[in-house]
Amino acid sequence: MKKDNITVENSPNCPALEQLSGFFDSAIELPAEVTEHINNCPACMNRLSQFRMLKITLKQHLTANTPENLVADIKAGVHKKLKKTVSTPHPFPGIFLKFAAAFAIVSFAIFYSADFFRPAAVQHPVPKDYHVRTTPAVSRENDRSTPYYNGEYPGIMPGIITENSIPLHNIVGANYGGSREPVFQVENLSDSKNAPASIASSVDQVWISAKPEQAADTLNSILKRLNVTSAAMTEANGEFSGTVKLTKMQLVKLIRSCKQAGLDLLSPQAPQPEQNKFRGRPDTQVKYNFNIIAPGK
Amino acid sequence: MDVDNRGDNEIITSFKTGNHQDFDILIERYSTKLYQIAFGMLSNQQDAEEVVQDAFVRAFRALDKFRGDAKFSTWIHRIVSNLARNRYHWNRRRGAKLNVSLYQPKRSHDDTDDEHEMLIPDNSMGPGVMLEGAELEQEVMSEFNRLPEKLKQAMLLRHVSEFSYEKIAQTLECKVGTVKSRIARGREIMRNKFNAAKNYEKR
Repeated sequence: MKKDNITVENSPNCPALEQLSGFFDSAIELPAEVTEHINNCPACMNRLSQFRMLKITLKQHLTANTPENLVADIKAGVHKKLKKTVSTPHPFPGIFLKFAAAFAIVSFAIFYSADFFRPAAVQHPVPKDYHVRTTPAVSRENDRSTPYYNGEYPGIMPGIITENSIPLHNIVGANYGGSREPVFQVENLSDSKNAPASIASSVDQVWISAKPEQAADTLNSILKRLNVTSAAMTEANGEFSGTVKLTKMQLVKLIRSCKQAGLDLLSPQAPQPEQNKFRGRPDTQVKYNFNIIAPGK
Repeated sequence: MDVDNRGDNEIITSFKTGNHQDFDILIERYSTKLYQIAFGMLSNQQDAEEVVQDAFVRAFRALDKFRGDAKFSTWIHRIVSNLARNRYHWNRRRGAKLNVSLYQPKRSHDDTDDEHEMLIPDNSMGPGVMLEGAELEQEVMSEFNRLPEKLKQAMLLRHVSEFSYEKIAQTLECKVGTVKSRIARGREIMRNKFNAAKNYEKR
């Protein structure tokens, strides 16, 4: 009989290997004639005797290699492992946690001290999400359709587009009075309705709108939304002038909101970083004077 | 030692009510058998002790959820068998010599020990016969350690814990017929190799 390369040399009457093995373990009941054969067969008895020898040798070897204090050792080991699990819930040693905490505190202190000693002028005056053009302006020679103010050459319109450029149809000549030159000089504006408006030198910005009353309401509602309460606005001849005390951050938001609401700046000075009005810390209080006028004034 | 006459189920019930010290009784009751099974698989005392300790730690943590579908003895034997098998494969991957302690028995050959006398039941045997008996044990165990892992597991559960075929099947999560076959094959492989070695020596 062959099974898995195991050759069993026995007579045809001998029981199969599994039967003999099961018989040895008293795990199976064999017919009486098979049992009788086993008891009288030298080959089967020899095999059973070898099974017995293997069993005894195995048990003997395992017993011999069982430490004397095995039970106590295992009990102690189990208790130790259970105690260790309960008492040290963190996978990291305590010294590691102490170092990590010290490192975090020092990093925190360095970060905030560096911020405290940083010069105010270096800080960006406007929030990062505000649209400020940082790329060079596009030069468009002979193009007068988009007048522009860059703060360095007041009154000159070189025809370069910036984010603060305003369409030509909203432009009227403006004169800031005093010794300052007009912010904009629009050529060929000989028509009387485009006569330069007279703007006081204290005025920071002039908003232009076809309906100044609506524009004033809009501006007021924006101020309310920004929680600015110190606003004073007066009307004279359909034009509005006002003074507001607010932070530079609020001012930036006010101007951005006014632009989004459809108001245009006559003098698109702001917000540009190079202008003093908007330079500095966002929480600095500033006084903002503005006018709202209609086109053609 | 275990002097508690309570059954495993009673001890487990007591454990579930908060008497965690009763777990020690289970440790005392099963440590030796479990160790011998683990040692038979791994042939390394430290590994075997470690496996048994880990098995008891796992059992302790899970005992509250033990439903008693199987007997505790079957369950703990299954945990040890699985852990020993994992350690066996891990050792093999590491290239560890599995029989590192097999030829380092606790006692030397000239140690007169009752169990060695059992090997050759001859009261008149001299030192030479004793040496032969020890060599025989080493040869048998050497062959046993070369057996496939599944055959060894089945044979150990049968000979050490004296489990029935049905209980071995439950422990190893296989069929009774498979257990029967594994034990028979393991015995026959060892018997044939042993006979071949004896025949070679006679020549």
